[in-house]
Amino acid sequence: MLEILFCIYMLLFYMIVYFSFGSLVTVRMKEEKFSVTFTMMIGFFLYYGIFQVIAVPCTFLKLPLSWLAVIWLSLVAVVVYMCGTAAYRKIWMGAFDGIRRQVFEQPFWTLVPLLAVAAQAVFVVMWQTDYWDATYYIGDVSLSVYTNTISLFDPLTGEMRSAFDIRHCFATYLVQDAVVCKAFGIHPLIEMKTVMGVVVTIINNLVTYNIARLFFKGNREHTGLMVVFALLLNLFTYTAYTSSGFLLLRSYEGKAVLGSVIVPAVLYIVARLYRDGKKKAFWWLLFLLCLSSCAISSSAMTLIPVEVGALTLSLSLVRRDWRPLAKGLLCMTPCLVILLLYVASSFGLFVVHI
Amino acid sequence: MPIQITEAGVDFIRQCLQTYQGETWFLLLFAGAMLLLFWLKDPESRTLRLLLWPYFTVLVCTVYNILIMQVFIRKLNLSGEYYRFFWLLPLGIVIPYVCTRLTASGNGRMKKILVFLLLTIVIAAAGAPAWSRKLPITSNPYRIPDDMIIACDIIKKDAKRERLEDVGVVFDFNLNLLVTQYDPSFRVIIPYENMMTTVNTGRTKTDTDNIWLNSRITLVELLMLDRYWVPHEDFMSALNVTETAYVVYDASGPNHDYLLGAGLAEIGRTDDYVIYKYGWYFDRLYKSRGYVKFEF
Repeated sequence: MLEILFCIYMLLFYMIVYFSFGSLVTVRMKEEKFSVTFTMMIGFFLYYGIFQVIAVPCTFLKLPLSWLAVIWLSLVAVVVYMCGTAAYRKIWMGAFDGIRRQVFEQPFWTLVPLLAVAAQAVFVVMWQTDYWDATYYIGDVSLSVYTNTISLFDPLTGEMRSAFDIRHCFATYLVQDAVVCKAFGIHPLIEMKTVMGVVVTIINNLVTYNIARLFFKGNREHTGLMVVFALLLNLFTYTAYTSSGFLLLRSYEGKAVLGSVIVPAVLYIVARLYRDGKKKAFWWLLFLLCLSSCAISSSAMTLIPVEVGALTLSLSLVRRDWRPLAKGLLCMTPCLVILLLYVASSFGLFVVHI
Repeated sequence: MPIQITEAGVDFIRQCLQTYQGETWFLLLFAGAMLLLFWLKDPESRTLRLLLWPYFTVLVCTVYNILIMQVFIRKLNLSGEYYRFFWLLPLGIVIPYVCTRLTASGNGRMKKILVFLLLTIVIAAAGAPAWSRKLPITSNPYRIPDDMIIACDIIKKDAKRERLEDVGVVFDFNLNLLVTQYDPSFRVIIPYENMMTTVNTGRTKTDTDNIWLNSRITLVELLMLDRYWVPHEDFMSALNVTETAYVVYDASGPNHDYLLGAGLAEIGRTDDYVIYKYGWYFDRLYKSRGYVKFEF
């Protein structure tokens, strides 16, 4: 029972933090109406993007995990305090008032997406999952917390690594889990399997919800229906060829976020660029997505450049203008830099010894 | 295991269709939904069509082109788990979008409900449900088998009584995968890589000179795989070399008498496992602490 309560607190923690981080961006988008779901979605990416910028140097400097926890949570506290107490309080209140009005106006179609998320969250947390991959991913976090180091130990051998694992050390998604476990004393298995499982479920649905809102012009009935169909599709397409299996049963891996959150979010941003081409902010958001994708999963270094390249090429073809493709190439720079470092490391050209 | 493009080469598509037949009908749903975008005349469907068809064409010409990709993946030494590129297909957007449009196009509430139910049945029939993996429902917050938690508790209590800080344990195969995740304070005698290599390839001639490796292979084959037998002296030597204090062995395994004969004593059990303590390890420990053994 205590664990369930703690999980709920952690969920609230993440949602407040993502909302605060998102507000830093979306409040400044003057031409965009402030939206709670969009803000939370952007906050998720900004959170991991900034975390990577701080965590990667700490990893290479071999700082103790507790130091990173202090640095990171101080920053989080400052952001939440600034947003919540002064700067954005009025905007937040206005947005939540809007939600309250919607609930009273169309209670059924407001509740439907919420129930879909709740159903998916229950499905995610009810199984006993012990996939072999978890030996690496959760083992890495457990060892980092136990040894108070940042991924210096190899969970597959239990020994200290001789060199940094370049493929994984830029994907600081796991380090974030270790930081939270260290700071709040939560067990890595609970944090990664249950708390993050539900967090990823919520963010996945937020992305679907925003896509539905875009294509159905805010029609609540159609938006709710699309979220339900997306849930059904996730439940019934369990195969390696969709990311549903990862989303529902292996959400502790960054790949779950990559396939179920980042890939559709990139498509959403490009669709916004297609519709509202003159809003420069969406190019910055695309850059942010590319940056945070590498922070979340190492597979993003190949997948996201392909997606961004193909989508911006489509945009260029539709618009008969080469600039979207050029901007797309600039946006994917973080992924390409990490891909280059990884390829160099796999050929032994870039090795950082511990 | 997903089929790897680096191994399958140009035969990749045939192997996929053969292996995943019956689970991948939803790809037809996707194809149908993409085609229906041409039929839907509203501006939003036009946006999706204009954006996704060129996108899909680019993917087909590049990352879904097996001939290009197998060379690219090999040359750059990238992961052969090619299936991740299929995540780029906007299945999760196009299918729900078209289903919603079809449902919304029904006149009257009853028609809408009927279309919704029909489409739900089609989606359910087109793929494999997530519960087809037949995972057990969890009974603890860590979402691991209860045996893992109970076995760790028993060993920790005994180790505390013995004032043992560096606790070396050989766990059964399934628990060995989980122990670092649940409690990294244990010294896992058989590292994951060592265990998987032995499971897949067994003992090779080059291993026989390496005492560190050889002793671990002996333990894996005897305690995890039940496919190897050695005299007690060799088994005990492997336990001594690896400084094993405890062994967690499958309760239905065939080697319980053998383990008792090698100086192991049962200190507890869970539903599926028996926890043994290695007497010789503790005898040496007591001697190193200068304890005198009394016999009555």
